[in-house]
Amino acid sequence: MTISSSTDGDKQIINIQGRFDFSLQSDFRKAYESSDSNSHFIIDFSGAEYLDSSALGMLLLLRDYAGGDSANIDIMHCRNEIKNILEISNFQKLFKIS
Amino acid sequence: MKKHIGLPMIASLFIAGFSWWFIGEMTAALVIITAAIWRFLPPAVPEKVNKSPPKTDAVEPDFSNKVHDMHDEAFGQLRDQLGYIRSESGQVNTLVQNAISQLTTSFQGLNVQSDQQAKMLLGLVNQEEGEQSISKFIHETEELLNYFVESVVTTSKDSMYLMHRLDDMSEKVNGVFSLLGDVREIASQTNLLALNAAIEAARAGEAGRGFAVVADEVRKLSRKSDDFSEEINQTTQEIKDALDAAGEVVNRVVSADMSVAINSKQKVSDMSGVITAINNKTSQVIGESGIIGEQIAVMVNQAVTSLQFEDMCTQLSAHIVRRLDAVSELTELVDQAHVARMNKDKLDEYRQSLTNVEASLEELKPKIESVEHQAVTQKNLDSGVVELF
Repeated sequence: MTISSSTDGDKQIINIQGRFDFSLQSDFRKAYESSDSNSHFIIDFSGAEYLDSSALGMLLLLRDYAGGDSANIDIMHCRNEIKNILEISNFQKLFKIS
Repeated sequence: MKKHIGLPMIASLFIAGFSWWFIGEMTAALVIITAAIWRFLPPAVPEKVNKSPPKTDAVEPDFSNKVHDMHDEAFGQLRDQLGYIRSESGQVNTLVQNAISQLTTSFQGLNVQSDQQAKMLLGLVNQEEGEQSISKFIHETEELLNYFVESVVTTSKDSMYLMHRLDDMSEKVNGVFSLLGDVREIASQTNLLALNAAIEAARAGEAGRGFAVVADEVRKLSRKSDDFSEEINQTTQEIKDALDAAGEVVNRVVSADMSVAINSKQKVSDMSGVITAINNKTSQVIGESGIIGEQIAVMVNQAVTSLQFEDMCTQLSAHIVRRLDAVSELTELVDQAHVARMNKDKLDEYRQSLTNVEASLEELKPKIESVEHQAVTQKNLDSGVVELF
């Protein structure tokens, strides 16, 4: 259950391992609030096994921080289960999901 | 002798011929037997109750009697057989008519049932209302699920926002603890300084007594400050505890498992698929049933058409009856000829009888020809021409 982040130019890459739930909320917030709100955020879900609704809330708050409709956020390398959850919540309208 | 039996011979051959063709071998055989008997009939006149008193012939009266008896017996049999043929032919006709009447009724009934079945199936197709309300229900359920998911997501977002605010507050609270630490430090320093001042005041003796009092007051103040810090600390700790508790509650609220919503949504869209499949299957089955119904109707019509053979049976029956009548008449003629021949002593009467027979035969010929003309000679129904009366 860890978050690691790195910067690459104006890209801020946040990597999530294991379960993405409430216990990560403080670290996740720190990971993005340290970057400029105009950054291109890349959320790497390749190690993510599970999302619950708190994770969805956190992603939405990230989007608000990054400018709402003008936010530039990619959610990448989603497993099928993760993709299902994002689709059922209509997140494909708010984020670029792959 | 040949002369006398010439005409009856022709008549009997006539009868034999017709009987053979149109009635049966049995009758023909009887007729031929009769004809054969005549050939050997001697010109004797046997005694017979129904005829004019015969004149005895010298030649073989016993033989004549025997021949006469055989004649009567044969003719009796002939008449009997003709009677049976007539009645049996009538029975056949009746049976055929009854059977056909029942078959026609059955086939018509079959058609009616088939029609009803088709109507019922059509009724199924027209269940639009039912279909629409099911589709509507599914649509509403999907919308409800969407609404539910949306509401969960929104709650999550708001809850996480709340959490951030709680975190911010916790940070501020930590700041207060830190400040309190500083305050404590200051108080403790102040205490020390006041202690030092008291010591210096004691050293100064009388002159320092006023200063000692001040130092003492300062010490009291610093202790009060400590007490207040302690209270603030406690209160702040309580705030922190409350914030932590609130955070726990947010944790519980916001950690909803999304898999329930996913399963539900999946189930609802599966059900849509199932219902569509059911509707398609129903339409398909109804279509096929319709085709089968049409085929049934075609076959029933074929069957009813086939029953037309009834008309031909009736006609054939009528022909049989007419032929029987002709044969009966011919039979009687032969009988008359025989009787006439037996009364050969009454030559004039005999001649008159023969003339009558001849005339009757002439009348019969056209009748027989007309029956022949009307006969249905074809063997199977397909090429048969049914006459309209």
